[in-house]
Amino acid sequence: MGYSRIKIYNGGIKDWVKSGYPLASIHPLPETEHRFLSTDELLKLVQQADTKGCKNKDGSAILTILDFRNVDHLSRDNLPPLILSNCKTVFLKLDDIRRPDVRRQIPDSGTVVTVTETGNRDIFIQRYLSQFGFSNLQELQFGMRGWLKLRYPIQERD
Amino acid sequence: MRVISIGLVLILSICSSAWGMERFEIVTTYELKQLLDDREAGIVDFILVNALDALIYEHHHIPGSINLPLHRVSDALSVLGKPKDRMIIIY
Repeated sequence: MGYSRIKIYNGGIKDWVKSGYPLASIHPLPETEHRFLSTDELLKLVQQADTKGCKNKDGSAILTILDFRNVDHLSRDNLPPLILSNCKTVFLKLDDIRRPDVRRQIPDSGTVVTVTETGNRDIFIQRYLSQFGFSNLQELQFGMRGWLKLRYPIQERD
Repeated sequence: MRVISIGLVLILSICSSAWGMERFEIVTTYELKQLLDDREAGIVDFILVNALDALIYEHHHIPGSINLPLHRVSDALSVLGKPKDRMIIIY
């Protein structure tokens, strides 16, 4: 029952392009500087921010985490952990950043770090949001997988 | 449809997490190119599914693929159609 003839092309777009084959595009994104923090750099930033209640002297957030991991298909008991931090984590779906009301949730000051599963999708977030003046985004290099691999502090989702 | 959706959620979540790939037959780049050429020539029929977010798909995708992001897997039946023995290749 169901779709029984399913195969995987695990080379993905990277291997396709590497092999010299063309890609199609509907809405190409502008180029932008690719900014990222290493796992160690984010850990340091989280620890420093936490000592200050994650607030600058003017009350603005030192750090905001944007968590773009897809979890809708997971049961409540099986949700992946979050980076442990007193700083705010905003949960977003990548496609939703096309909505103005969603973009209003993204701070345009302070350090804003995007977190995905492996760090592969973050550049598209930066490229898309650069069109709206966001220049303070940085990607967590290697995504949450890198954070978990190093066993850095985590917390369960509410 | 629920079983189909659950099955596709499993597969797309596996693709997105790069885990458990060994459960499914893998198609190489060369094989995919051949299949796409054969489909163009009417020799073979299959659906090539891009499981990434729509924003990424619209930026770039393999020509001849359709977009079915993980968070829209409930739309699978309307996107993929009814013949369940049709080959589906996901990337």
